[in-house]
Amino acid sequence: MSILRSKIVVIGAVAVTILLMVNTARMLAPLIEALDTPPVDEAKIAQGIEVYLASYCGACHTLDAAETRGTFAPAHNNMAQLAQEHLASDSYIGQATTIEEYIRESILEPQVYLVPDYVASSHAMPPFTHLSEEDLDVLVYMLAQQNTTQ
Amino acid sequence: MNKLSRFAVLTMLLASLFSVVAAQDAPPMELDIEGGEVIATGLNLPQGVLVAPDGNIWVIDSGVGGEDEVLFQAPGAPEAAPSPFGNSARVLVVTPDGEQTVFANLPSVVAGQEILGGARLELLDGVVYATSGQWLAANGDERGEFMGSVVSFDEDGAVTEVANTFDIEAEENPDGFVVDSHPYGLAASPDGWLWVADAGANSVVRVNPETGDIEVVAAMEGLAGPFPNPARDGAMETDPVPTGVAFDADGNAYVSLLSGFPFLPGSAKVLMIDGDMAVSDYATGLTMLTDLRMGPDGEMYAVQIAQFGETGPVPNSGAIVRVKEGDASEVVVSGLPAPTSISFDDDGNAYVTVNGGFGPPGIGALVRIAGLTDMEGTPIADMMADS
Repeated sequence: MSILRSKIVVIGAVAVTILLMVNTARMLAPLIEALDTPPVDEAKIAQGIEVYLASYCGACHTLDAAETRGTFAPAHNNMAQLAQEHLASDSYIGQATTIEEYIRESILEPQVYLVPDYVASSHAMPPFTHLSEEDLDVLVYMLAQQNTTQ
Repeated sequence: MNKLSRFAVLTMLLASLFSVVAAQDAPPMELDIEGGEVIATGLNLPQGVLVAPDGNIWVIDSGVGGEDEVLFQAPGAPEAAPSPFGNSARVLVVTPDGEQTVFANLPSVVAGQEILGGARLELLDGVVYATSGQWLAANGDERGEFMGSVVSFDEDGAVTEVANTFDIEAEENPDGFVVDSHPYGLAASPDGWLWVADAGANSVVRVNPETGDIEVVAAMEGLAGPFPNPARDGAMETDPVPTGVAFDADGNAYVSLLSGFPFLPGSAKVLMIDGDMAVSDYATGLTMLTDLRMGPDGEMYAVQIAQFGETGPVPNSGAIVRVKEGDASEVVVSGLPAPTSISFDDDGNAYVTVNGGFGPPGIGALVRIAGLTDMEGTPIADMMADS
């Protein structure tokens, strides 16, 4: 009887421990995920906005973070999500495979893939190949952080 | 689908349908223009206005496309795209008390976020003329009817092509860049020619209204720009984009320039073309000009459609500018929402089309600004220095 009781106690303890571990893992998962994600570089975003404004992107694009209100071209407020959607679209014919690559391609070779509804636009975007690599980097980084749906 | 969701979808469909109808038939936006009286509303991106000798005001707009579809390649677009098309651009006669009558229709194409249709009107020897449509070489040889045209109307509003501006652009390409004709500004010269500011070709041509003969007057040079422009062989310049033509009492022609992306404030100007067809700068330090007109006071007036800055278009930054030689031009009326064109009656009252440049069709309006020629102006140079 006492052996049986001891087994029950041990099994119970093991079960409780497993439950605790599972729950703890569940509770810590978001934290671990957050620790795995590189922290947002606010200085780099600020530099990206400077380049965005100096390149007059706001003449055609709306981006709340830069307080621009252009209407000739797609808004950039949720650029990360839009990039993901375009990459997943059957109509996408560019070479990019990541959000950052998509944005970089759109800046340097905008004619490669035209966003639906803007194919016939008479305000086609010129390639911004004159940007320095440093300016391009911060611009791509800043736009890749834009996701108003988060 | 349950009843609730069916109801929701039906409601949304009806709501969206109503909003489309409302956008085209009613003035959803209230216009508050200091000193201005709204004469007509419900215009679809109005581009031109002309006060006739009988006191009626003629307006031409861009239309709303239509139910047909054409493959159309807009300037700068890398490929043609199916585009809504219809005969919905309108030439309207508006009485001084605001009654509107559609006099004639012209083709209208929805090109992305923009609609291309009618552009400007002129009256010569009792006949009304207009500039219409746009055509690029990329769209092929079979030019659409009245696309890239100077047309005339008979008294019943029937349309006849007087000349097409595309062929001479295709043959001579005066500026040497993209083969694109968008006949826009239109004015009769003292010797009876119709001068056309071709905003796509970056040139001015003139048309003999009797024969349809057409010849290049001048090509416009690029304007200094902040970036290399791939459309101009990588030069640090923007397209000049001529938009309006006016003549002085001596027969000299003046041409307003819009400028191109990024539309830097102060980068636009008015050129003078003298009797020998020599082109020179007349007025500089101007911004985004869309029309040019001689007032009954002998002064020249230009329309500034908007100001663009680093943050894009500044709301209600359109203006009427009294053009002076050099950098002495002055703003007479400011705070206008995307004005496109101006015309005067003999008493110096101005008629201005607004909400013509941006936004959805249906919100365009015709505004009367009483006594504009008597208004004091503020020197633009002072305004730029203050900002």
